[in-house]
Amino acid sequence: MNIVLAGLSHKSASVALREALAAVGVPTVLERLAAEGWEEMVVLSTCNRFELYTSTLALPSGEDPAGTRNSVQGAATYNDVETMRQLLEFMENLCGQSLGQVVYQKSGQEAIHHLFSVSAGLDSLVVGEAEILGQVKQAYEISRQMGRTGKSLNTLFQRALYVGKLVRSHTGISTGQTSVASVAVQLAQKIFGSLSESQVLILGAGKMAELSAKHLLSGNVKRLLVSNRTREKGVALAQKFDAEAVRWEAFPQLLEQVDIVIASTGSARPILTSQLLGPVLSSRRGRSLFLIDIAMPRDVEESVCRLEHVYLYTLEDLKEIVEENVSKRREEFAGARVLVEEELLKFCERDKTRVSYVEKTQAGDARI
Amino acid sequence: MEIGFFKTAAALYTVSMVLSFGYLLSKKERLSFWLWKILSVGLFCHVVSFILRTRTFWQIPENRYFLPINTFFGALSYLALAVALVFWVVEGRHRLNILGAFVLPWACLASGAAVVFADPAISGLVPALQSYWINIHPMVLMTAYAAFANAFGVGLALLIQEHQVKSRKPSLLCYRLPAIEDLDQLNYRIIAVFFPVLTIGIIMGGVWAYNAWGRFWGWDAKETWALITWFVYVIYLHMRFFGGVRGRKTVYVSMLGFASVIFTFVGVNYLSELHGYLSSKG
Amino acid sequence: MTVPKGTFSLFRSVRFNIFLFSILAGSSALGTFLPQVGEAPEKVEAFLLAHTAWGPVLNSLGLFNVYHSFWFMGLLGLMAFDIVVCKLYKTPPDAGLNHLPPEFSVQEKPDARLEAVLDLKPYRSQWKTPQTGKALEHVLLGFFEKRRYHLEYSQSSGGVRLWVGTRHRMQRWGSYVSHVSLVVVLLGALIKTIFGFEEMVPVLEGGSKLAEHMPWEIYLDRFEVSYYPGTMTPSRFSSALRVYEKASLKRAPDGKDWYEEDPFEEGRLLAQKTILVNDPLVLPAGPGKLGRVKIYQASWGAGGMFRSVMLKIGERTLEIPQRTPTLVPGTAIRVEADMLLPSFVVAPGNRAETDSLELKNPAVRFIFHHQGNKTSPLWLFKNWPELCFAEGENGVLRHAPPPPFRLASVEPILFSGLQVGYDPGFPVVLVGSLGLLVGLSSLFYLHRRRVWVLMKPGGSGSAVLAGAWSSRGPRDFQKEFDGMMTELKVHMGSLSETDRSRKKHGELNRV
Repeated sequence: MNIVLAGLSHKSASVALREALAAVGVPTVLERLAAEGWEEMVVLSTCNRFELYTSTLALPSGEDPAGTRNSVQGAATYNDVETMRQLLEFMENLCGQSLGQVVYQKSGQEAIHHLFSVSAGLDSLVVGEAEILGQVKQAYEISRQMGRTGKSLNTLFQRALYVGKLVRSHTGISTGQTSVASVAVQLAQKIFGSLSESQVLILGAGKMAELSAKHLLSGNVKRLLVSNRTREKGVALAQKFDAEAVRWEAFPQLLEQVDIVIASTGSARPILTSQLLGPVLSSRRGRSLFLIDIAMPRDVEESVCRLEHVYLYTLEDLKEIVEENVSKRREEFAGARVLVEEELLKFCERDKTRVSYVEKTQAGDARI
Repeated sequence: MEIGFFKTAAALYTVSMVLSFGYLLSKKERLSFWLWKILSVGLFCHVVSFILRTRTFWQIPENRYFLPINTFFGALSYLALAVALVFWVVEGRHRLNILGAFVLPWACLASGAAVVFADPAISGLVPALQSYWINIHPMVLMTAYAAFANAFGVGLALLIQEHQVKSRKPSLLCYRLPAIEDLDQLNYRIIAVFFPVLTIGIIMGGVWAYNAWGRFWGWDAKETWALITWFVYVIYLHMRFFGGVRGRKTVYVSMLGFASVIFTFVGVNYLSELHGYLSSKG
Repeated sequence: MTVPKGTFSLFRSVRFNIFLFSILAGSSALGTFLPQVGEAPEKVEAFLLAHTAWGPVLNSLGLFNVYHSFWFMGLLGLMAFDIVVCKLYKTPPDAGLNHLPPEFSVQEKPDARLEAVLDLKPYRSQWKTPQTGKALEHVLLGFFEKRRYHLEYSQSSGGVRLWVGTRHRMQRWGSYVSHVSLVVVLLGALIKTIFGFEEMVPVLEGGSKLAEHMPWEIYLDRFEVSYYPGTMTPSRFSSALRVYEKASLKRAPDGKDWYEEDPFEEGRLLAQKTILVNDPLVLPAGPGKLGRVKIYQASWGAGGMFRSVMLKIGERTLEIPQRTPTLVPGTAIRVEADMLLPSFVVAPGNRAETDSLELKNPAVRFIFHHQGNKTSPLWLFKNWPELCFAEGENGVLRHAPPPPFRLASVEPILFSGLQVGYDPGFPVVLVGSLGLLVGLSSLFYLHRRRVWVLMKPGGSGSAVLAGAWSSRGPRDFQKEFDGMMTELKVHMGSLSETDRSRKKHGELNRV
């Protein structure tokens, strides 16, 4: 048996193509594959990649050039090449385009290595991201439930998930947040603990404000308030995220109640000054205030940072943290790669013994 | 044998403390698991040593049925036990093993000091201590002291965390420590819960003194310093309740309170020497 | 920090209070570092002699008697006054956001105003329910009962109804009771200072002494001290006392001492008891006085007098009474033992002193007389037979080779340190202490919570508004509030069971 894969990822394919393939939906793809006679198949479909994994002992029935023995260590044999061609054909039919250069095809050890790397997050846009592990798991689960996996794919994917977890826990590959918004949320959590009782005020209603709102909502806050100079935009944003819109003139009073303020107005001069915050702070009775200034030019006066119980982070600060985290992940990359390769060897060793056992028994059968 | 168990407990506390430092700086959950288990075993050994000590203590007829904390050794031993126990309960409930690095040193210090400096010999109780009060008053007070040691650790963690986040360049440590507000709240809760305990302890001392010596309050060094500790925590509570002050400033006060606790426990013993020094100078 | 306006505003400001506490704590600390007159007068003397410059300055500030100085007691009084002033403005104590301010009466504008009031509550929730009237009330009251909320208040007008329930109402009194109790404690201390007394009456065994504050003569028949075997740590000491009231004792004109009008009066036996350290003798205080006077076994010691010492010379043992030169048989030498120091130490300047009255290191001074000549005094030690000091002209010690005599034993005349005390303030202090404990426990251990529920009929059912207040922060209460609201909604039919479990797992958090 041999693992064969064909697929495309963010490294080679355009966003449009990836989106087109992702739009089909995994169950649909699996059904179509089944209809064409594929027995074993796992479809990994995310916004950044689309990959099909199969096992060559499970060609569409009726096509098994007899006598050709495939070993996991051997180069792509006739069966593998034929399988890959058929997969490519399938994908082209799926998206209605010719995919020639964009698709990569791997078999045997290469394919296993690729899956392990993907699972460990080494092939992702953001190295070490956690999402892909869940996506691999989901892809595997769906296939399994639909009965589209056999022994070889089962072993492979279970191992791949294990490797993914192993690499993340043994190296620093997934530590540190890598987007400005998630860093901000993480910092907020380090100030307030759980954010479920926090109240957030967003000043401004532009794109950045929107993005921040989206991320903070994922942190499950208690109350989200939006205040913008032009009321309509503020109301629109508020409606989008089920938040409360507040009149611009009224926002200073809110400073007494809210815990987190995201400032992203287009104002040329700072709107949150020490003068404004001073009296507010005393009525806050020592509760912390987290100011995230993602506006350019700055919405918050620098001197505010020195006030007690106030934590100010500008876009530069957050970006710096992100860069630091990303470079830390990169440092871990080499170590993670080594780990993946070790696991690959281990896996192949086990498989070799299994294969030779299978070979022996089959040889035995043949003799009989 | 009792000393053997005690030394084992002291050693285990130290191991636990070392593990807690490791856990703070690395991310290995395994360390947290082990530090917990080892601490539990250490506590068990300590309790066993205490029971054995009590049995030996009761061999002297005048000592029945009192608890053996009349010597420096006994007191330090109980203090270490209380610190470890309060940590085990409080931080265990909130899953804050990470604070072990801040709190366990006190348990190690107390038990280590007992092993190195204090004389473990069992002695008879002097007549003034032969009263049922010895079974309650010192324990109550020392439990409060142990809790304040915990609060100190939490406060220290808070100062560090606040500095980290405020600096706008948080290091890895920031992500290991709990949130600022959580630490502040925990610091407050520990003090709030154990402040009445401190008060009860001081009052018990007064009632005992009244029954033994005829005066409720004599302003002797030990009593006075316990009262000073009480005052410092009163200041803390007023700052928080009525002054609306939280965070850094209150932590300083709570640390001052703990410094006062240390002085009450240890320092007063040196005061008579100090007296001597002051009066013979010149 | 804003200072509240009005009279006594200074006393009510937190800064002032904290300042006051700090000064009290600081001066108390000072009193432990400087020698105090009440405890060690000789050390005070020594200090003053050693520091001629600023010693008297400190003295004039009362720093050698801090705790009884006028300014310290004044500070305590100020603290008491401060507490009274602070709490006076809040009698009865703050209920934590009242039911409804008077202007928000339901009769006037039921909906708008009430909603606005509820909006002020830090926790709010609102929903619609298909139920109405009695059924709703039943649900709510059952809910309050199950959660042990006391229904404090309910009002209804024009179909709109309001209920207010509170839990652990006692907590409201915690701060108030604690503070008032402190004042009571200080009051007790004041009573003791004015009306009480305590004095130390050292009585030699076999002798008697007149007490100072009471017309009593106290006889010490027998004083016993037993030690733990092999140590000098006492395990028990007791005094067998007889107390006589002498009617003929009158105050001397200068008001200080008694003088006996009738020196032969034996007096009336008030009590006879053997007292121990934790077991005092309790006597009535006499006419016009509340409470009782107690005689405590406070301390004991050897004052330096002794009945005799045993000196071992070669094979013989000689018994030598104090200050009685005794002939050594077979020689022309007379030995005199004149001084006993119960706990001998060499003080700075090489002088002989005792650092305790307990027999920790007994040493006796001997002088040998021979044909009109005297040797320098020699100190011999009971616990250290090889040690011997010779005392020079002005009391300076130097080592001397031990003579062929050994101090075998000493029979000191012990005195019993009795503490006679009268503390009419103690019961007051005790009451205050208990109050303090109850108040503090109530303040810190109880969690007071209040829930307002407003219902008004509308549409096909009713609209419900709920608000809450907690004496603790959101961390302790938020989850509970959310849980309560969900439960209420379920009972009122506004939320199905599946929704409830979804909500519980955070999926519907912003409903």
